[in-house]
Amino acid sequence: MSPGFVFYFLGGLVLASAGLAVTRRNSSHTVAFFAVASLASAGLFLQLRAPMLATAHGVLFVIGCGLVLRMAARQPEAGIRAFWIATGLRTWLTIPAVIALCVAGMILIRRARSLPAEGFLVSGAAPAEQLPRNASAFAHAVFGLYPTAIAAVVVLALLLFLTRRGARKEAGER
Amino acid sequence: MIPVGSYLLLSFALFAIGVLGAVLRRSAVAVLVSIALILNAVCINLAAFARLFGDASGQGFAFLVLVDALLQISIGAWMFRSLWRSRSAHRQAPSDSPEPSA
Repeated sequence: MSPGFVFYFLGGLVLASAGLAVTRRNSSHTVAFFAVASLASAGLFLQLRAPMLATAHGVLFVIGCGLVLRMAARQPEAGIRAFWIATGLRTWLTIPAVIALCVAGMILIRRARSLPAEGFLVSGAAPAEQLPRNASAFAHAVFGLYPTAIAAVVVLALLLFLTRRGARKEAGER
Repeated sequence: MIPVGSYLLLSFALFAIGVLGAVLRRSAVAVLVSIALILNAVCINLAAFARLFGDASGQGFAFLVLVDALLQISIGAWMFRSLWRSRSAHRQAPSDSPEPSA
């Protein structure tokens, strides 16, 4: 599969699903299309020889989609009922989204296999002695160049955690 | 190799879609997703330039942007949930009050 075809396919998928995510009225459709856009972006990162970034992107945005869906599913005003995934998505929107998700996953795995020494996500894709090429450069960049940014992100996460904990405690006391 | 201009065009289009969604939509979920799309476009830009210059520092910064996006999504989700709760409590409040006697 030529890199040009993969790029145009993934780019088209990212743009189409981002456009649909922004224009849909149902919140579950929005989050589903956003998940497709995130996976296709992870494929683009793999094509840019950034497998660590692609992995982080996939994991973090799956967590993000889960958070947003959890928020939306608890609100009756958001238009999502108890079985929001089973009944909320219309068939004509679900089938293309699922097909696009499967195709994006297959492309991700193919790309990971075709990158020697970097496709550490797939078993048997890279020899152990060649693994740290991108991983070590990535770790050096993150922990060596941006210590202040890391400290800021950690402080932000800590603040969020403590604030939520305090709010829960206060609600329990009430 | 795909030229870096193609990645720039793609990220510009994604950025524009995100800005339009954040400005035009009124739904909280759509606004959160649009802001995440904007940050996604930034990450694609950073990764493309990291590839162009053969330096992983762009990837590292893109990772930090991703973590920041996740924190922003969780803060936004929490804020909107609290807002909805307070609004629904405010709506229920008049019905709970006793009927005025004639």
